[in-house]
Amino acid sequence: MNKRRTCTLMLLCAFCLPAQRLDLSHLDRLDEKARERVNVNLNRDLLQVAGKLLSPSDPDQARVKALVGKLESVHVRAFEFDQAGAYTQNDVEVIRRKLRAPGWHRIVDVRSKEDGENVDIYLHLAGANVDGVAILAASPRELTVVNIVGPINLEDLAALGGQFGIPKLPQGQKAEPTSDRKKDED
Amino acid sequence: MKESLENELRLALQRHDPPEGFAERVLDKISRPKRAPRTFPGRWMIAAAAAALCIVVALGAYKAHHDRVRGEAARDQLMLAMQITGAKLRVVQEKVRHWNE
Repeated sequence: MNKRRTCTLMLLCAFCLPAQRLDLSHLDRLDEKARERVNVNLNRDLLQVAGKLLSPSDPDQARVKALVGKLESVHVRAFEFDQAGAYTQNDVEVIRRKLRAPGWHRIVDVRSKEDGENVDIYLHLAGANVDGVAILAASPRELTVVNIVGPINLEDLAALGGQFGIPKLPQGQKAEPTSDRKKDED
Repeated sequence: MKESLENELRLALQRHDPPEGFAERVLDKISRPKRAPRTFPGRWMIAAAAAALCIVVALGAYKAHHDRVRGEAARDQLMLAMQITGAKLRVVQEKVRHWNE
């Protein structure tokens, strides 16, 4: 009975979330296993408050300020484990499955056998506009999920290049959304 | 001497008609209900008002401080989120660059 109630509640919550918002609650169980973990959940109100405190004189903060003004929410779950195998492929697959929903398009899919780090970048499109971004990075001892909800200009995101140690994206190299869902399913 | 004193007394005591509306004003004042005696001394009211003002100011200052702390925490979290996002974008860029070389 309790199980059924929990399932109903989870379903209700899932329906309440906007399509661009990923429900990452299944990762909660990794909190105890992780050596280090980051859990950032900023809704619109908090983004507005944070935006007011970002200094326009600091170039890093000024660019973030311009970026977050239109965002609905920002969610980050990052885990670092002492040893490999702390999270399962199913944990990652649950997120990938959500990112196969209509509207999501994988634009970057990086697989490295060298260090075992896999990074996927997804965009959620509303017509021609990007209204959500998801980054899924998984390596044997690390798992990171970034979910940015709200209208975001890829050029604004690219403008973060050079910030926080990110090399600047060459001008004109704009990620084109390619619907590779079929490839993803393979 | 005596006569002048009498004249002065007569003048002082002679009958005068009351000013116009005097009777009405008297009757009106009599018929008005008496104001209830003050049960709360004025100085206590001033002290209470001052205390209330102090509480309002203190609450305002606390709220401003609380909002600031909340905002600073949100700002730090936002910068951390952007750092993590940036780091992952860098991983992708470096791998793509490495493969292109």
